[in-house]
Amino acid sequence: MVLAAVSMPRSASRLAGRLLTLGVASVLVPAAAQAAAPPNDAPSAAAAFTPVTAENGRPSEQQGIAELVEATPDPGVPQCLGASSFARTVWFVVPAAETPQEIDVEATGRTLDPIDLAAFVQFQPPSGPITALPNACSGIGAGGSDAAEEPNSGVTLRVPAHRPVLIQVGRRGGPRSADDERAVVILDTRALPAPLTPLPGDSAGPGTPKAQTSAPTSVALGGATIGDEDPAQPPCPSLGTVWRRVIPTFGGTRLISVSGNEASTLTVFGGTLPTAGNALDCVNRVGHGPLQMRVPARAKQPLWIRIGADRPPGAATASLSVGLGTGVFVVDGGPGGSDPTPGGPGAGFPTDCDTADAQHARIVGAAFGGNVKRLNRARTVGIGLRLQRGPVCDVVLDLIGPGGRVYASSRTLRLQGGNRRVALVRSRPLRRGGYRLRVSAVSRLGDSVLVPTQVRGTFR
Amino acid sequence: VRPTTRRELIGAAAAGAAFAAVPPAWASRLLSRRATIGPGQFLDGVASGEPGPTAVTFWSKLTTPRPRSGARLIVARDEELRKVVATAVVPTGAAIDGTVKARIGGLQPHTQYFYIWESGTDVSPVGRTRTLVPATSTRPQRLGVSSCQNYPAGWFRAHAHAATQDLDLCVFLGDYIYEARRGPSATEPRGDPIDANDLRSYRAKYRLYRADEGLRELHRLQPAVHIWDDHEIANNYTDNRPAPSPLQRTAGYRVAFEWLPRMVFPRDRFRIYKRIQLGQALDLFLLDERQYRSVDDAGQPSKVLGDTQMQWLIDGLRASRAQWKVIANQVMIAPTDYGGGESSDSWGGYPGSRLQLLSAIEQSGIDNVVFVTGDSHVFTTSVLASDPEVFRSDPSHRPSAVEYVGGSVTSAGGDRVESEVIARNPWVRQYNGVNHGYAYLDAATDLVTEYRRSDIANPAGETFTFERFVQPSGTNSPARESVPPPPN
Repeated sequence: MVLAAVSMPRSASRLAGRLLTLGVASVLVPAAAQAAAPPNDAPSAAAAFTPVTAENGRPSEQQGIAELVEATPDPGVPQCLGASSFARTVWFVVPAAETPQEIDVEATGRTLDPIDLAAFVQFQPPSGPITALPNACSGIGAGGSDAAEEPNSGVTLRVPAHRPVLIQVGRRGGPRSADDERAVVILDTRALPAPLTPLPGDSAGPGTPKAQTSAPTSVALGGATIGDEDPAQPPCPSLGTVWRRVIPTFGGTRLISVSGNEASTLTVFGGTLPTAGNALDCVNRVGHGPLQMRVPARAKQPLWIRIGADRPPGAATASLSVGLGTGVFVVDGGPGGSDPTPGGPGAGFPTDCDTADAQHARIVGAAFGGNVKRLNRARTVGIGLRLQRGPVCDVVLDLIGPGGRVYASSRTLRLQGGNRRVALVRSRPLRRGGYRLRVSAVSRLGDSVLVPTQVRGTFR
Repeated sequence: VRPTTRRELIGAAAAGAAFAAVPPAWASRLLSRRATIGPGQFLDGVASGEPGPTAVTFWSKLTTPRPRSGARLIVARDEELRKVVATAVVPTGAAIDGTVKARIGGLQPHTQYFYIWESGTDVSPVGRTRTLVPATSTRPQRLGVSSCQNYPAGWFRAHAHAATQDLDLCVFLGDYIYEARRGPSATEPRGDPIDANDLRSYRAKYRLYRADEGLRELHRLQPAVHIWDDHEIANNYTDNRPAPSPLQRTAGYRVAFEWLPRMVFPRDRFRIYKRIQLGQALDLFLLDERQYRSVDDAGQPSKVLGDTQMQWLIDGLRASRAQWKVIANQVMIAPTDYGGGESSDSWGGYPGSRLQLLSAIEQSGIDNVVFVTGDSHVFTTSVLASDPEVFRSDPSHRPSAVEYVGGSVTSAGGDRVESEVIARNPWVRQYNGVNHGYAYLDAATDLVTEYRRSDIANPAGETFTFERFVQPSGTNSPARESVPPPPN
């Protein structure tokens, strides 16, 4: 049962005072025996958040108490953070507002186990809960505050006017005590200005504008919201999203690049419509510079490009470029980005790059050699080496030759330790003379540093 | 010594454990497996806290509208950060207000370290911290002890002074914020427009307080431990008049953890009572006198610590082999009556708890127990016994323990005549209700305690020692020494 917490008469306060000895979680609500699933166990019975009072005024936030020990799973509702997430859930509802609103929901329990949270944008008037597609979610696997030393879960999203939102609150694993299972769920809402005109591409569908492929497309971000068609991407959350679509006329790879500091995420979906299952990858903004992905494309198969924006000024825009991706190398989401997942079009680093440190690595190898005339017939030059204390990541290999010039280069996300043979792409004809390999990679401080390399040779 | 590996550091930051638990499904390839840095500015300074001999918790905060971000912590032996000993990438997000916190292990005991945080778009100020001495060390320990910083009431000059001192640890005894808005007024230098009672407003309140230069500098330069008192939630909230809502309590406790370099107990995230060992010189017992208070069947206040914490404290005092057992204590334990009776919000409201604790100290024959206390905004020193009335009939009675109440950083006290306070309370050895500042403790063979007063009306105000006590080991009795007046 969800209890409103308001000022109590003094007689009631005595009881509450006695309960203080039970610790924080147990004073949150009287620990009623849990004999059955809570009344808000299903999305159709979502509980309202309740206002509270305080000695110094009425808090603008509202509370819900999630009693999860006897809660049950939700058949047919996608588990936004994987098969073990949302093992048992309760539901709350955020009412619609006359204007767009920013909704922030945070949940805390007595233990440090992060709580799973998901938001489902609804229609008004409701024709039954829409739970086919979570539109935002938070919990283990999202990689933000849920992965911190003292984790907490929270979802923040901007929704259009007249759209209620269902909030799914869940836990994983087997249930523990009622006190350990309980969570205080806190809702904060802020009204946003109503847009004078609808934002082009605020939702994904047949009416979503197409992106140009011959020139950059200017994409307005101000007023971006998240709708019911927006598939949650937990590692790349944003408060609002704007969509563009591309229908390639021929297959191959495309470089999708988004510039503009207010563009905070880039996610690309491939399919008739964007779904949770056809997301290709996502990228978060880390610093300045474009967010990039090198995306495989099939002729006539739409690509859905979602640009995330958090609290952009009303006139904020992003510049979207869609070009050929052949010969382009993308590292970790591009110059301004970071891809929180390994591999994929966003070129996220493999997980072992977390332990890589180029400053402590070393490259050795036997002297190489060969005939210049024969080597120049090939596009690449192969060189054997041995990487000690690898792997190293975001690796640039240059073959330096006569005149101190670079004759061939290669770039790779990761070079694993041990004996390797690398292929460097020739940028100019080789000449007779001495050559050496120069290798740079990322240190544990995130800087690109030279890896001590003793690989030399002579081409005749 | 083997340098700490990056793997260990990531593990220490607890990020690895979280990522290892990532389940498959829901586009499992698109669940996060990496902690990465993100955008954001470090507008609220840096801090370090809860040091041990080989570990320290480092803190900062990223300001960004991004719901997810992260920062890299770099710890080095030198101020130029050339001799890096540890790095960690620490994830954060809006649900912890962008705060970043990492406990780094593998450090050397009693060693000074420097650190910065890096985001994708900013670099923090360089912070300094120090690990504690090892458990076997007999080196004297120096503490700075403060409490009750009310932002509108004055400048936190006590902190600015403490930041410059050679301290092993700073101890804050509660009322780090005051939840109610106040001012501006003609007699106070700055206003506080925030009524804090939920997540957003508590976070705004901490940010406002952290804008004080003295407090920021203290956090930047000294490792600290903190306990909370009532104003981190609401004034005297444990009287339940009215009871704070679950929202308010959760929000207040959460933000107090988010904004301070505390360590957390994984199964009890809001527990703050713990023991910190500073070599053989000093054991520091941090208490929580708010969260576990209870009333009896008649509705009267019953227990100030709760049974579990009380037993933990008594057991800890009995087991302690440290020369000095210092108890970080929110509210006064000496039964001080200024004419209107004892405050019911202090230990005076829980006479059974006070009797239980002081009796246990006496019956166990534990000497050198020292309470350092906040809350009451006065500088006062008292001797303690389970039956304080004995000091009326026998002023030379050997005390069981000593209480040093170290004033307030800025909160207003009570201007009373010392001789009248002592006449009414013969266990009181000193009283000053006018000054603001902090206490300094030097725990060696003798315990030297100094009270220091600050000019809080002046943003560059100075701080001077105005009281000094020497407490020889085994006496439980402080001797008041004369202190030369400050230079003009």
